[in-house]
Amino acid sequence: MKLKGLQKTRIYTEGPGYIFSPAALVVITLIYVVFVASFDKYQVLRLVPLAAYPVFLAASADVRPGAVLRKIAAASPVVLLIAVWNPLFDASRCEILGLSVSCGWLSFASVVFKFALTVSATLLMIAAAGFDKVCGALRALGLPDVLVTQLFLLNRYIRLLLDETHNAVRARLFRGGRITVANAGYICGPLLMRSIDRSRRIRFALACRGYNGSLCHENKELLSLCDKLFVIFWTVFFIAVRFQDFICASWRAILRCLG
Amino acid sequence: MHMADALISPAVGGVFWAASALLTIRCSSVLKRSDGEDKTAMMGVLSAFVFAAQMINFSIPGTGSSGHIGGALLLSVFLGPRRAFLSMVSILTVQALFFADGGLLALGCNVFNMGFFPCFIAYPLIYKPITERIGGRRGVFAGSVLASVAGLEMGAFCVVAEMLASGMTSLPAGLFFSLMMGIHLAIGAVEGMVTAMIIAYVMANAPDELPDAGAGFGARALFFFALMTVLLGSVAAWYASADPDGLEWSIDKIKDVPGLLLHKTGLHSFLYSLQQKVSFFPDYSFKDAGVPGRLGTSVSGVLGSFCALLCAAASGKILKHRKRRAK
Amino acid sequence: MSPVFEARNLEYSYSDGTDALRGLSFTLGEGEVLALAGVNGSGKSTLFMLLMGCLEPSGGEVLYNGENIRDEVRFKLRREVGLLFQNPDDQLFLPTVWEDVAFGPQNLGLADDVVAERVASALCATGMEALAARAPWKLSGGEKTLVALAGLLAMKPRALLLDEPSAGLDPRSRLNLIKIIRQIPCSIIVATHDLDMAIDICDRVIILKGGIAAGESRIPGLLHDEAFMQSCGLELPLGYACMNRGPMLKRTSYF
Repeated sequence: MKLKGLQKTRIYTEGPGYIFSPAALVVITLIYVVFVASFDKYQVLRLVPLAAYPVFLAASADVRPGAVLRKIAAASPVVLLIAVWNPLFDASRCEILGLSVSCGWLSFASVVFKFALTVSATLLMIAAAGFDKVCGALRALGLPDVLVTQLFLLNRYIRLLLDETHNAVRARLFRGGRITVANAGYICGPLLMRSIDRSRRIRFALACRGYNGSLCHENKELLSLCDKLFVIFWTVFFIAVRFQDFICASWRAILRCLG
Repeated sequence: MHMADALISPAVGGVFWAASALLTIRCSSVLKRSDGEDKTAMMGVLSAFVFAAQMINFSIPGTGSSGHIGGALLLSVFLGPRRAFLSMVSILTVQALFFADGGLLALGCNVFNMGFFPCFIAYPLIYKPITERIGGRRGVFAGSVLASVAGLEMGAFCVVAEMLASGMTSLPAGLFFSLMMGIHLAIGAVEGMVTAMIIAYVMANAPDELPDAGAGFGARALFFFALMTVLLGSVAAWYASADPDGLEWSIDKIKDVPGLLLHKTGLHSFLYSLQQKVSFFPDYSFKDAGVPGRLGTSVSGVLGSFCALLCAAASGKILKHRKRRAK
Repeated sequence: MSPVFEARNLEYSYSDGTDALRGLSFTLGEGEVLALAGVNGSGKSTLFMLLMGCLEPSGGEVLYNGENIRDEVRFKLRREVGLLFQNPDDQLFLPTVWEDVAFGPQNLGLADDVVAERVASALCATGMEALAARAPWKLSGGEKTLVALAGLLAMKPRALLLDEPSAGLDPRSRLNLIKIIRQIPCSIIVATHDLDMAIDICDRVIILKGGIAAGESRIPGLLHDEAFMQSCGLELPLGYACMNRGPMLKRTSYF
């Protein structure tokens, strides 16, 4: 059972917040992910300069790289399972920097590298801005109130429900019981009933404090001048990397220098 | 079944983001207007319950394997399809942001594959009719297992189609479809059984907590037409005539006339190259020449019909909205 | 002057047919602190839900300021009356303590600076200023209760309904809570098993039994009547019991 591992949902310690606004981070991370995904499946070296963005985020948000890499490793099995077929079914050859390589392995490396880049950018966005501030930013960007409320409540009660579930399962195991499909109803049924009762009390608590459909009342300006410059700078960088092969150009320059 | 950003292209991700966003906005606005009991808190807490309960692996005696509850079907039973869909959006968003289970670009695809099919197809068209027809625990078990399997199979089918359309995998389409849909058949069966056990427990101990089935909405007719669309788009299309239609025949006759330039210059050339880059299924087949032609025809037929349905529904809603505002 | 709350022959039954309240009548005057005592399941929490208009009574009526609780009165009531739930996790739903305490004043439509001032003063009154940036799920049980109370105080309520406020608190936190409640300048109903706390902070006590008010008196009154308390399934307040009882009975073994 993997409940214990899920208790560690944070990869950073609570801090005073990031230098740029959560809205800017959300926008630029989305743009980043789109640019990374837009590369062809045989393009690996051209992705390398894009690693600058997650490295910048990790350094400026003071996040330990090990924590991010562990999360990437934990989430990678499915992607590896799909990408591992590429070398088996794609036997064609490609030329990279004068070397002939298997296209199948190239596409495998491309998928894995893209996965690492996109996952690290997403995790670091949350680490830098904080989940709740990202929800506030999403609301300001147009996400419906009911969905923002869901994200807040889900984030708030997930730990409570995880603890209750953990206790329910342990209580059964300590008394010699087993966790099988046959007794799924007896394990999850009472948890479900308690959740429904809890949700009623929460509904009353919300109503008693004048809840009017929105849990988030953040009214600050969405993007300051600094945030806009941050977004513009990185967007220009991504466009330049996407349409210009810096690795090849650098390699040719190095070869010219070496004679 | 969570897709990562590395496995899809921006075009495919963008299309499903748009579809999922439209569904989300539509569900939110309908719920906002509804006069029913405010179930916001119940949606949030049940989402957290599903999240937590998915962590429990229930072993299957005699097989050495285990499974867990689905989520979308259970949520649909207690909250209804729209609220369940919004709950799935929040669950998948948290999974993508905190656990790297699925990506940001792929979120639209994941919401569609794991939210739309169970909430809007499997629950109203399979679970509800079966439980109403058979009734009792047997109805719940049959409905849960069949709906769970159907929802997962549809989602798995869509996952493979999205990945093949994105062109990031070299796995042969036939093998990919067989593997994914075979695995999810077993997963769906286990998920369905676990979901059924939970619903049966609630039926036995707190039947008042189960919402009323409510009036149907022409489910049988809708199911019939959906089934016909799938059969026509996927199987009957194989036997469509290969002869050119009237327009193609006319163009064929005049294409060698001097002075007639076909997509060679300027805007025509640009649009032609754009179309070549963007089209997922050129000439109703996969871009990869190794994929069997019939498979490409089936997939493009089904997905194309579905896109047409979405566009028609969206147009209808926009026109209805404008008419209401004009009044 | 109308009492803050008045219940007239209040009746309520659960969906399975069990009677929670069977003709309960009482009043809460302006500035009064009323204790509501009764065994588990005597209907104290259900009564609070009825007073806040969250549940509809099956008989009788609830009056707030002399008016029957209907939609518009219910809206006004919820802006002026605060309910502290038995489990504070049920009413702490925002990411930080500060945001949670600000939730109520923001829903009242107050300006940002007024909200900030109210939050600061409520956190100060409960001694929780240092925890303003903390996430509610990281707080101890006592801290959660005080933060939940701060969230109600920030709305400057006219009346407070406190459901088992000292449940699960260690002795020091309990004393701290008693000091805080004593300084709150509004009408309060406290549903509690902690009869010593009731003696410390309340003016009057109502004992619930079988869904009706079995007895009502000024503090300490009925709380020192051993025979009456035992007939209602209750024990004497601990302080009084220690003075009047002999040595404790010897513990027996299961086997």
